[in-house]
Amino acid sequence: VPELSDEAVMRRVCAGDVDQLGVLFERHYTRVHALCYRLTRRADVAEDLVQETMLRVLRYRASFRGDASFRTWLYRLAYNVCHDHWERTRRNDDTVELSDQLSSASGELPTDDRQVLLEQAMERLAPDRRAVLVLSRYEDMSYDDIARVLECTPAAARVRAHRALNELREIYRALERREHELR
Amino acid sequence: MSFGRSIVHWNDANMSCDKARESIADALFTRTATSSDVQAHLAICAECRAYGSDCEKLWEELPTLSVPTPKSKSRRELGGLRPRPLFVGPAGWLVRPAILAAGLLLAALLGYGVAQVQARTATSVGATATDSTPEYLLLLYDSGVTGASVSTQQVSAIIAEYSAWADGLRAAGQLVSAEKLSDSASVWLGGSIATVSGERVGGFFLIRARDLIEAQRIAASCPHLKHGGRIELRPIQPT
Repeated sequence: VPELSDEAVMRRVCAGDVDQLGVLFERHYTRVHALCYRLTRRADVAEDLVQETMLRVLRYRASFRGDASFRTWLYRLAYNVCHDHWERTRRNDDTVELSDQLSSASGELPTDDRQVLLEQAMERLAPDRRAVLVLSRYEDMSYDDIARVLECTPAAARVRAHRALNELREIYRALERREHELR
Repeated sequence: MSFGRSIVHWNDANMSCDKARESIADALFTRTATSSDVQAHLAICAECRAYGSDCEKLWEELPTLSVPTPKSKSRRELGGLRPRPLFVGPAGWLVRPAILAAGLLLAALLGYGVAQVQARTATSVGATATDSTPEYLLLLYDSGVTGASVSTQQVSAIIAEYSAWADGLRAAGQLVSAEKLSDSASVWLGGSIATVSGERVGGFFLIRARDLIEAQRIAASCPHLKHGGRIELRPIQPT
């Protein structure tokens, strides 16, 4: 028996068969968890955010119209849950001072160090910028799909993507330069 | 040079650096190759070559960043989900109970969701209660203790149980509203009230019943009790 698509399962949920939610939970739990972690960079809250996302699947099931894939709709819910989390925990103490003049680093850092710096750079990136990178790089989403998740136009998603990449590079290079200075 | 600013460097390849960098970003985001114009620009612009090289390297390294494994032992064991913060301790720190029937908590929350959606769309067709019928508030306290892992099938069954219960009330015209309370920290004014450790009001049902006895009967039939939660029943003062 061929497995029902997510959209078909969701249609059953919308029709009142909430038992089918278990199928969707099982299929998407791990990926939504990874998405929530990557969007927030907070391992301690990622699982709570998945729970909240799954709750919203049920709460807002009537808004699933099938014009976008279930995954895109689910990710929009997850993004909104993460956005609410950012609003609750917004802090101003994580701004990195970046000089306008970025000098080239004198040499390549070891791979482990580069990963650590990249982790830090992603953490310091503004959440909405980070979201574009996450959705494209890890979820392989097009500008059109990213726009559906972020509820903006594809053109706006593209502009955000460019800025995100620029800013990631700026932050990374500033961190890299600081690392070299400390050595 | 300043990246991210609106600099415009025109060169022999007849392309601005801004435009070239946009194209480099597009190529990464859309998994396509850069055009021959961009290649021509890069051949003569060292700054944009460095930009492209940096971005490509970061892009390639992003997938190497790890993601922590969910605490649940497997996707099938939703009961292993980490609970939400339940109350704020005396020092203002968020306190989590050591163990929580998280699967049941999730199911209860989903139950609220069902009830809420249904309450909002409820009509009085076939209703036995009227606007003048007394109203009662059911405060649902989430259990802060115990709970083995719960499979997705069990969670689905519990959700269906809450849904059926709320459906019955709605059909009888006895469900006024139902809401899940936010998981953010409580704000106490005039002193806090001690509850059983880890316990907290997670949501409420506002119902209609002929009298306190019928309200008690309805509250006693709520699946929340069966799954270890507690309910406080309070009559609404008639106006």
